[in-house]
Amino acid sequence: MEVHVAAHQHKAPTGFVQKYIFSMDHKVIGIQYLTLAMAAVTVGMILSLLMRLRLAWPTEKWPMLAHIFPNGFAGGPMTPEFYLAMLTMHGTIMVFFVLTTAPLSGFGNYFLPIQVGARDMAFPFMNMMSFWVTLVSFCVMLMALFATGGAPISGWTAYTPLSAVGLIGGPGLGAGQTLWIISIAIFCVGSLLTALNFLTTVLNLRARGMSLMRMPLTSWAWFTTAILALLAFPVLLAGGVLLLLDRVGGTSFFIPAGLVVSDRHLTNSGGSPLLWQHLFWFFGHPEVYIAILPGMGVTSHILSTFSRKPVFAYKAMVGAIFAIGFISYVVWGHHMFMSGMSPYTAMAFSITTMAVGVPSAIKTFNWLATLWKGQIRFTCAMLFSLGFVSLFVSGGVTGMLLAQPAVDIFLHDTYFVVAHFHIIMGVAAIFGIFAGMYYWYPKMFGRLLDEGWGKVHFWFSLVGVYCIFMPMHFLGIAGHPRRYAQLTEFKYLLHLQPLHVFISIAAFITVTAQVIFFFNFFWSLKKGKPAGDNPWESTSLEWSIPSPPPFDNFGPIEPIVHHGPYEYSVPGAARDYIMQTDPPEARP
Amino acid sequence: MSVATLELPTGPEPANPKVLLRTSLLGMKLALAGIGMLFTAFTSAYVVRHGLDPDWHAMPMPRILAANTLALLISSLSLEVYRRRRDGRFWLALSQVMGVFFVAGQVAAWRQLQAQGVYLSNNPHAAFFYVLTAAHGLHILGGLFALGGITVVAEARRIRWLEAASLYWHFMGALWLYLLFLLFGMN
Amino acid sequence: MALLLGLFFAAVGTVTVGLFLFKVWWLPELISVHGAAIDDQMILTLIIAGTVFFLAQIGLGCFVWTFRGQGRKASNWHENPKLEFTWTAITLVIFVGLGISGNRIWAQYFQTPVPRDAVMVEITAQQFAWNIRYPGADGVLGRTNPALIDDAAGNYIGLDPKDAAGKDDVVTQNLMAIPVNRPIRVMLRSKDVTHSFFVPPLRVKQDAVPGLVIGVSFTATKTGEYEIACAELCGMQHYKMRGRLLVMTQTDFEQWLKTRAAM
Repeated sequence: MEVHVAAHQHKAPTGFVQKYIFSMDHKVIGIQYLTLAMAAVTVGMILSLLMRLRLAWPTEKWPMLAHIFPNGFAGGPMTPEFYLAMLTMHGTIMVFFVLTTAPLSGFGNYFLPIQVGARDMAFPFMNMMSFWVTLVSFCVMLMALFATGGAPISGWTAYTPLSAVGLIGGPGLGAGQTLWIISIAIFCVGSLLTALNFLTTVLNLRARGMSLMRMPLTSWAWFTTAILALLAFPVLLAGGVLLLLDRVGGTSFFIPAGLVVSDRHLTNSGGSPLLWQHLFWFFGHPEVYIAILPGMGVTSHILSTFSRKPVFAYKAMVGAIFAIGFISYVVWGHHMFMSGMSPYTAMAFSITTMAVGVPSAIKTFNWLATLWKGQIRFTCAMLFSLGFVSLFVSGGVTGMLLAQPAVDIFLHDTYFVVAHFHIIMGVAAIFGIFAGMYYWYPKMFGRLLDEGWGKVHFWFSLVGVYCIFMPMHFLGIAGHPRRYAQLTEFKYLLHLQPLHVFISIAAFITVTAQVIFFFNFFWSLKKGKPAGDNPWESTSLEWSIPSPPPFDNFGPIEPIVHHGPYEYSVPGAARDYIMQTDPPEARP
Repeated sequence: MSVATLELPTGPEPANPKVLLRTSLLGMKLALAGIGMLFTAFTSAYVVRHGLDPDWHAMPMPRILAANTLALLISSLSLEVYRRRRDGRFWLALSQVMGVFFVAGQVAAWRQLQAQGVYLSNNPHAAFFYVLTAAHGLHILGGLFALGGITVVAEARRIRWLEAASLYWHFMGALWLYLLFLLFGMN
Repeated sequence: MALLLGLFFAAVGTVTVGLFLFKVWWLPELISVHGAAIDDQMILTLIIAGTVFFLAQIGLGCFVWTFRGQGRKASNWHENPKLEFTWTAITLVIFVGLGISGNRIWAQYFQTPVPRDAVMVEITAQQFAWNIRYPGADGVLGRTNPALIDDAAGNYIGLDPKDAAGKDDVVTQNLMAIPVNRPIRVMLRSKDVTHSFFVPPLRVKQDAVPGLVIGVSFTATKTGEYEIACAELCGMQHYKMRGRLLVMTQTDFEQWLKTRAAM
């Protein structure tokens, strides 16, 4: 396959603003995204703790919190509407501003060009715009959090008609919901700009010798994720526009005739609440794969590096990434089994959903096979990647239950679903981010994160997340519905309260332990051990350049690639790893 | 450049115009794929809503749309002439003028509908008309901005800009024909 | 580190499976006919999923310990098409098999024709209550018109006073009675936002979507009092949207209807 030479002539940026604020350098933009994600995850975690506080102790008064959020406590315990607002914003902020930014726009922006041997992304100006657009989106979302009338209470899924009818449907459904929609619409635009850049860079700007089948799996994952983002976000944008019009333009895209909300008769007619669900989930399902695929790429990459073994069945791994990406577009109906959708359609979606489990299983086997007869080095990056494998299995197998409509009759909209998606997204994907952080921090900042504190962080996180989310399966099996501000109104749920207390305590401990990571991150910037070019003895292109890299990545010499991405422990080679840019003779 | 003729390079490769052009065009094609998905989503909403509603009263096509369509077609043709000749400011100017005429004509169509009392809220067919023409119109405005940029950007970038803008503009023209068909061709 | 991690993964596998096996927190008791097949399928899937889960966690734990770095050279083994094909084929068979068996039960569930003697009940969900309506002696539900809905006046479902068929309709709020061992046909509606009718012991869940009338059928097999929960976020009192479901003998049920009709 023909490979292409670099197409950019770069001048080094000058001045603080050009270098660090309005920078077109993909590395700076990557760090900006990661910073945004860190701010967002902090907000998201605080919101989740507020939720857990209410779930465990629903009638308790919290005077200090009432001081900060007077509307949310109204002189007594936390109100249910405050709980729902926290729930909505927690989900939204985590899914969009953490799981869609950090793995893809954060690490991907920084490392994709380097891994394929390019000087920068294909469209650096557009790249810069994508970050600032996303930042604006985040600011609007924060406005929604503090909007008059409250933050929206319709969940991150914003089902209609609840999200469409305005304040008569409940608190937060006024300005809060409108700002939410606007924020999401802006976010869609930012993601599209990112996706364009990733795809063009991979297809056109790879260095000499970097054929597609020599790309690291991280690059393959970013590439596929970008395809998903390109085709999914516009659908959300369309839905958002129509929802906004239903709210402020008097249209009836999602609102049927004859609605009477809070004794007010609405004049809308002819819309379909299910139409929103279809539009949302057509986006929503690829979105969750956008959240996990980069983590899968990182896991493959790190397991290989720290087992000193090639990734098992590289070609199959590439195929699996594509298969997952492709099939993810035809499974969205499994979120709608109980929605009133045609049961025949449900059967079709059930089959496709089971099908998407197959490439995921292949990847899991291959990860285990990568470990087989390896020489494992237990660095923090490796620990988090091993944790990813464990969590991915835990979260993935429950998919087998939820994919069957008959079983879903009971499990839909219960805590079983909450357990499933949290373990996959809220933990496995997060572990993928942490793994990437421990692995790439030395390259980005020239210093190593402290491995000792990293291990403490790891253990608290691993044990903690299992303590938080495993019990939720049992809540679901007992029939505990989702999005309940408390379970005390139902006799059949009362015996589950101790589980909620256990989960909440585990959550508080786990979230607190994340402070260790943040502390490590900032302390190591100045006090970490100097990293050198390749502290992990890893093979991909980013490890052949200085830490941190010069502004044009590779300096005066064009990189030329002679080897595949995972040449570890090649028999007869001088070292147990061959870098991709090593001369051809390095491989006997 | 094939891998077989490698020599150790001594410095960064100069920017290769052919690759730059191909890169710009690829980026534009991908962007059009995304924009296409936006209108695909709107289409599916339209089809579903149309099928659901017993009260669907399709409004007739405002006649000015015929003139607007003609303007957009002329605009594309004119731009294509300019693109192939890479010269002839008249053709570019004609294209821009026709583009502005199109936008003005769309606004006039909106005004006409409003004068007849047809708004977003009281007719679902009209609601889609407003949404689709607004979404398309915003993209046309972006395109006008791009056309304006052709003579303004630095010489080194001009060809890429022109090629990418032309591709975008023709796509918007074809999209308009599609939207006309969707809104009025199936009644 | 290797030992600790390996043991932890093994513990995850073991403890979780143990909690499931010993049913420490489990499904509510089953009181419906169709629910038996659902429970069976759930258990079957749990067994398969649980086995995969257990083997994977134990495997991961073993590998982490066995292949800890000991200063030797690692193997370069990185492909085996036959092995790849085998485990892919096995996975495909298991997943597709589960999919087909699950769908058979699903098909049975929604394709069973509604018997003529099924008891008809209409439920109109609203923020935050369940409006239950029975057709009364004439067996016909009276006309409703959303324009007539007036919560303040107590006409929650917009019953048309001009329709004779509606005069004998029995309407309650948050209280539903059904006879045991008789097929029930519930017609679900909503007057404001999407709700979901969920009775865990019956293994019944169905969204109530405004603008649609959705039917769901079941037969209860045990008398008693059960709870109706809302399973679709509908606003700030979603967690309190509780109905009482009374399953009683046929005679008791007829008596109950008569009493309520007189109210």
